Amino acid sequence: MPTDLAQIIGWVLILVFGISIAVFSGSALAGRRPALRPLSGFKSLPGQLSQVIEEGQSLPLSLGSGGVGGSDSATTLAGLAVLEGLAEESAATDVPPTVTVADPTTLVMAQDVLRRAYAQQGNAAGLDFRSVRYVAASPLPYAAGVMDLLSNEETSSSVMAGVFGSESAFIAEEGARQGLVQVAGVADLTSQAVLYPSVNHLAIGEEMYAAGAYLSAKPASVGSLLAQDLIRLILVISILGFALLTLLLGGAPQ
Amino acid sequence: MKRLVTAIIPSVITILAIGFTLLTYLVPALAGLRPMLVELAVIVAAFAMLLGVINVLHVHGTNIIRRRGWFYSLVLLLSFVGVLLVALFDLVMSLNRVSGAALAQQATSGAAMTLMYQYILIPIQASLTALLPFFLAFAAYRTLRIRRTIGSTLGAVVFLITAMVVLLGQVPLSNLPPLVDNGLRMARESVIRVWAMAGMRGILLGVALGIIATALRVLIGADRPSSD
Repeated sequence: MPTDLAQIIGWVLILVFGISIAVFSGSALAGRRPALRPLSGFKSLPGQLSQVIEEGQSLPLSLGSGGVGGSDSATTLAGLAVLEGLAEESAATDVPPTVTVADPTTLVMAQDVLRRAYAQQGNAAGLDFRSVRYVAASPLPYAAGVMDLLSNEETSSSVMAGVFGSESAFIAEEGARQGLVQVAGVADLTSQAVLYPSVNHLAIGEEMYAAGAYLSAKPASVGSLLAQDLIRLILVISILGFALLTLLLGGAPQ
Repeated sequence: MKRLVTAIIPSVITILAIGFTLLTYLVPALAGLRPMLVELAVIVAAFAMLLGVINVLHVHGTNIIRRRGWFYSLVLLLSFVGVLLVALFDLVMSLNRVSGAALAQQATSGAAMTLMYQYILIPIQASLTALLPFFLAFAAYRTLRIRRTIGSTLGAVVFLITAMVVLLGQVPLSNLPPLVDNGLRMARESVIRVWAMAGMRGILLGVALGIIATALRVLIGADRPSSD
């Protein structure tokens, strides 16, 4: 069992977090839907998708270089939640998004997300699995591949959601050159910095993980977002409290 | 029965795997089992790589057949076959010298493969990386032109001034008056150590919460990314 104080606090926090998610998810499942804080990028995505579909085009979605099974799993799953949110409408109109990945595990997961959306529409056989493309195995060749796709694909929007580094600047620049409306959700600090000047809507930090709540409105995603906000509030109050205590005591609290 | 196979069993396996991995951190006696779980994940990922190769062949093979962007697809497939042949060549050349795991290693890091990495792949990637500052400078310039609302224009101006201060504080400008030079350096230090650091820590805290929330959703079965 953990004996270190920091470790114990960590485990208690995880426990409180888990219970909060379960409680808030249950509440959302019972029909209580709270108003979510506005996130311009993800709120505008369904409208952009509709417009792209009306024009008979496919929406390019880049899931980045992360995979499932390593340290990037959670961010990749958040990217897949964006795909899940877009897949339903795409399946209904039989215009799947063009998904690009740089990890084979993400390839399988993304194909599965689309397959499920098509199956729900009773059109599982209609899915073309080539709409998910394994572009390259490392970030820079992946960015080059996505740039080529954006320059050849007739579309008016582009979405990036997942694990990206500084190579995301190349993708965003190509999107800007093509005049696309670009939405990006990234967790990496470098990619946030390089994407800021180029994309129209940028979800930073934990906003990236809130995509599921906005796009699919699943009770688990909504509950998780509320739990995130609660724990963040607790952390902010704790940080301020400790800072105040440090000031009053004239040193670090023991 | 179908639901058992496509929904319940995958969810149970996922929850057990995550729960058990978490337990190995809580109970030090179980820590030795963690590498075994990681190895299992690596084996599954190896099968996924095979699917990735099939996807590449499928997508680009179709492009060639349909004559849609066929040239680059052809180059890619020829490169694929070329690299595969080089790896096989390395493998055959080392057959008499090594065996087992060392033989597999030889296929990916043999002399010919190393040459290809060193003289083709690395220079191309380095050239692409060298373009990054120019892309960023152009993007920053466009930011000032495109942002239309007052808030976004203000953000763009702050972005540009901060970038200029950090850049000027970094480069050695010997002909600047000492007061200006010291002021720029102090401003740069303040931006990096105080403002940027505070923002970065805030963002990282949010990212950490997001990661924990995603993992917990899967752990308690509220989110099932791998099943119907």
